[in-house]
Amino acid sequence: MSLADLWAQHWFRAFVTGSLVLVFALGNFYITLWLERKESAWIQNRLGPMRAGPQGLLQVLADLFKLLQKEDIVPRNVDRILFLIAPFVAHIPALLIFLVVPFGPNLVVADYDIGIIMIAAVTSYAVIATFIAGWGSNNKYSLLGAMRGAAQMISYEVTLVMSVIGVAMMAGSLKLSDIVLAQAERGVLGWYLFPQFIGFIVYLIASLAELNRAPFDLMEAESELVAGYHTEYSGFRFAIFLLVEYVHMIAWSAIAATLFLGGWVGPTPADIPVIGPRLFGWMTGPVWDNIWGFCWFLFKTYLLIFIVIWIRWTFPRVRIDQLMDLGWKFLLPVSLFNIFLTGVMKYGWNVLAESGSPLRWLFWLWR
Amino acid sequence: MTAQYLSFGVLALVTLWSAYKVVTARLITHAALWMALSFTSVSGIFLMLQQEFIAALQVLIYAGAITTMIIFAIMLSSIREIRVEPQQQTFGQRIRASGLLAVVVGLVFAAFMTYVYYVSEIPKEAVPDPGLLTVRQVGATLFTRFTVPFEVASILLLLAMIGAIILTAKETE
Repeated sequence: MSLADLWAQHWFRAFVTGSLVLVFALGNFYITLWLERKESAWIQNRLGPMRAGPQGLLQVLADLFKLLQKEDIVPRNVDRILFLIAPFVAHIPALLIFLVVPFGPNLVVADYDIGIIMIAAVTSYAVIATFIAGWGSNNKYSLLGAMRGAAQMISYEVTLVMSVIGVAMMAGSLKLSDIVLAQAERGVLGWYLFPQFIGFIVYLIASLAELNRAPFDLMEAESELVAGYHTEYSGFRFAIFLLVEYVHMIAWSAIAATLFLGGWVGPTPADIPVIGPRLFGWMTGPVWDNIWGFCWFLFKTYLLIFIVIWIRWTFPRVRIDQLMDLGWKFLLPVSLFNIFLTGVMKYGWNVLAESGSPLRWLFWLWR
Repeated sequence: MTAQYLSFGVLALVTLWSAYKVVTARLITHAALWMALSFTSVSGIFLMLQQEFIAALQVLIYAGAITTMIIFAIMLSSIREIRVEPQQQTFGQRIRASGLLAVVVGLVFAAFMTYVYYVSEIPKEAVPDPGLLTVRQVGATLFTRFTVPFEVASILLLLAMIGAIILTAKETE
């Protein structure tokens, strides 16, 4: 059986692409963890890790190795099975999100028609995993942190989905690859960042809350709850919680890059006006398209990761009542208004597009 | 084909076993988590039928929202554990008391399913379009044919929400 025959088999393709996604997630976890340490150091006017490897690049490896060496402590009165499986349940949603992300023109693992809904659906397991960890630990702080986290995640999940609906309305599809293609047709100024600016801001805030990142990291607020739901965890189980947190962050940044920043769309060297086609003309074709697409996608994703880390190290933590007020009383109405605005503007353009009226340029951004 | 039967069998077994555990689990939180597993495997069966949208909604609403609501309800109430009283009755008495009801309910359900199986028409040849229920179709149907039920359901949910708010507001006063 040749490799091409094997590739035609569903199970083989699923296995290979799934493994690639896993490798992608783990590799980016490593880079993001390093980036977080360096960026926080930079913001706090210090150097950060410098000793292990050039610019401290091996520091993350050392940290993870240390965590793996530690004893995996299981306290006596925990709900044993739940305590043990919680990190792995938390792992599911973070990785499943990558299934629908288009990494390049043809680089999607499973291009579901219902992309956005699928992301919203698998995210709900994060709530369950948090609850399992909090309940399983049999610790007041853990349970309090978990319940807080569940309340927070549920509140912000609604807002998150509502903020994305505007994009789905613009593209007329829930499929992520269709959304990227629609943005490719509209050119750089047509990225949904501009017509959906309200949606983008709401998405950014809501995804921070969904990720439990500062300034919304209330479920692991050290000053109140020790460490929230992972108070009792140590060793590699704690490492897995860390991994999940960062993989989740990368996943949400990748989704934001896809929905609002045009995903893999971007100019290639062959697009340079005069010298481009002559010098870099050979860098075209499907394979090169995928390579450039992947580079642009990574660049946009890391831009968003950078912003998320930046926010974490510059804003103080909010209170739980402030968090709930922000979610329900401000962000949700704003995202509903965004849906209304998008509908009105799209309708306005549809009506006025054919006419010569100069008024139509008002609606041009929502075309 | 065998792979399909195999995966259906696994999913059905997981669904049934977790549904059984929902009823018999001693800790009420465990029951909620078993329920989430049961809903998840049902969504797997929807995926096997190529109804991605329904599967995603099953996970989003049942495994996600409903389970979390139940967990919150558990946390707000004071019941944590269902204590099993030491049984005075003999085994035979218990079987007669609880088993009879189970057998009757099971028979009624089995009769109903058999009736449905024989009454419903199974298409003789393969349908050209397997009736893929897209989001667009669901939305169009909701806003044309099922507008009234849809709005009535919305009002019902709104009433439930207002009721919940009134109940909790009373407690804080």
